[in-house]
Amino acid sequence: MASEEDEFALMFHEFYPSLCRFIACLLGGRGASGIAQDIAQESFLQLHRTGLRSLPAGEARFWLYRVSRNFALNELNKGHTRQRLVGRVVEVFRAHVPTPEEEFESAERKDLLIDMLKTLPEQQRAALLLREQEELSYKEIAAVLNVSESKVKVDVFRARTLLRERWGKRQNAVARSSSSSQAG
Amino acid sequence: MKCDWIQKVSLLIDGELTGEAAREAERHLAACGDCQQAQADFLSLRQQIAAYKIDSDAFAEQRALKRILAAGGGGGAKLEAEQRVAKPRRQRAQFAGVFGLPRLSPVGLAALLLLLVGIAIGVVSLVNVRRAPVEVVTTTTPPPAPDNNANRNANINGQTPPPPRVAKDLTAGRDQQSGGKIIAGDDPKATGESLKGANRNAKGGMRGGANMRRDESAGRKTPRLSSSPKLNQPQFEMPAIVAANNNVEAVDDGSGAFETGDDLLRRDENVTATSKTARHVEQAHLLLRSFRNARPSDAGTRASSDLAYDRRQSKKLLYQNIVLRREAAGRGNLPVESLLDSLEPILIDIANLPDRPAPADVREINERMRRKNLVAMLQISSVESASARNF
Repeated sequence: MASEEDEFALMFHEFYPSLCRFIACLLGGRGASGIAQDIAQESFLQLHRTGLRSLPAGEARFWLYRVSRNFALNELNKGHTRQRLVGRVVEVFRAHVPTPEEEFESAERKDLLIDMLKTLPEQQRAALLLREQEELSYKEIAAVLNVSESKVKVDVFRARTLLRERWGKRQNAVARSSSSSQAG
Repeated sequence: MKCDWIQKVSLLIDGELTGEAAREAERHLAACGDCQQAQADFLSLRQQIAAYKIDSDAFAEQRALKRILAAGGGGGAKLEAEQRVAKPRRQRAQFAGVFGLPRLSPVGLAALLLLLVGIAIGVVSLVNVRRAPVEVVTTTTPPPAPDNNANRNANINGQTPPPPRVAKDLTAGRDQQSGGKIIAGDDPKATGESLKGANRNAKGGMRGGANMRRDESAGRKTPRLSSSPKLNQPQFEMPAIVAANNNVEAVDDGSGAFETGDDLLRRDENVTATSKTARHVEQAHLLLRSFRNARPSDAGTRASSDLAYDRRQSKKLLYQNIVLRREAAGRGNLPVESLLDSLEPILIDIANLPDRPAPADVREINERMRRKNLVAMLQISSVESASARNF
């Protein structure tokens, strides 16, 4: 029978990358990956201290997401992080319509969608990420976020609708800009 | 005006609707354009979010695990000390790991850096010395035709014939975008086409990367869209390579007929779509066979975990199925579309089975599969695509 340490190592290798990705997306793509790794390690450290076997079977994964999200929220609440996020939100919604070249450059920075994701309220963002990246059910998401299942249902739907609308607007702006530059 | 059912669509793609509610939503979806568009957009968003990757380092991960295991066993003071030094130690460990050295003193590090800078300067000056005469040769003496053929063939086969080797290296190293300076020497028309094709393909890839909506009228597959350059890279490079190779072949034939960039892109997309569909059909075939062979009477014990796997797999295949069916419809590929169309309700039913499905439900799905002769159809399609790939 595998020792607790082996079980922990197995779990670490299985969930560490996805936990890092979840936190990085929650905090915001650029530059967040380093913080995400620190938070993920801190969460696993907490889990190790708590003891894997002291948690109910199958609960450890959700526990990790819960704890790491709390760490991420702390990080988000820090002043510099907030300022950085506000700066990015302003950038996303800046008044001038970006040219297609700028769009392509931005796409090459690989986080066009993640930029938009960051403009969602944190609860909606977390619910959507847990659904789409981690493929958790609404019930499991509710357990991780400590909210009701019906709230998860609404949050996921609102997040999707908002992203869809914003993406559509952006695409229209790009199409208009591209057609006007071709006409010119 | 937005349809009120869009929230149901969101629940449906998450597998949160069961039984009659799911069927009702499917029926509505089949008839409502708004909801179909919403479903496509939601699935596209899902693909993009799920495809987001962050850089990972297996070595650093292993180090982190060791540190956690070491720190977790101690008391609070030890833990805090460990956390305080965690980051610098990780960086140093990564650095040491890269060079295969256990630990470097500052003097050793400085010596290593100096050595590296010296090597870099040496390499740069060597490259400059080699470049200058070659440029003169390539610009003043165009190579004769037989050599060019050998060179072209070498380009195709990935070999390097002796005389034009320097020129090939030079063109590859200096200007990747022109991607065929040797061909330019032979046939300007071919190169012009090649460049146009490559540029158009690159633009197509970029548009694809930025465009979330599906361009069904053009039969073009866009939903695998990501803002990530890693994912976009193959879309940029592959058609360009195909275009370059194709032009080389065209010159060899001497037929004078060149495919345009759009033709190449379309052909490439068709090949990709066909292989994706073939893989999908194979997977679906295996799933349905496995589901058909599961015994409903065992539902309480082992089979319930088997069915859990079937349900998960079915959910996964369902998303692919929707995308591939729409692509097939866009391309006007009726046989594939109708096959995927008849597969879809079965996948939805399996995906929506409860944790402990009633034997009657399982039997009903099996009965529907049997009536549609679905497993046999998938097998035939799977065999056909396999033989098409072999020959």
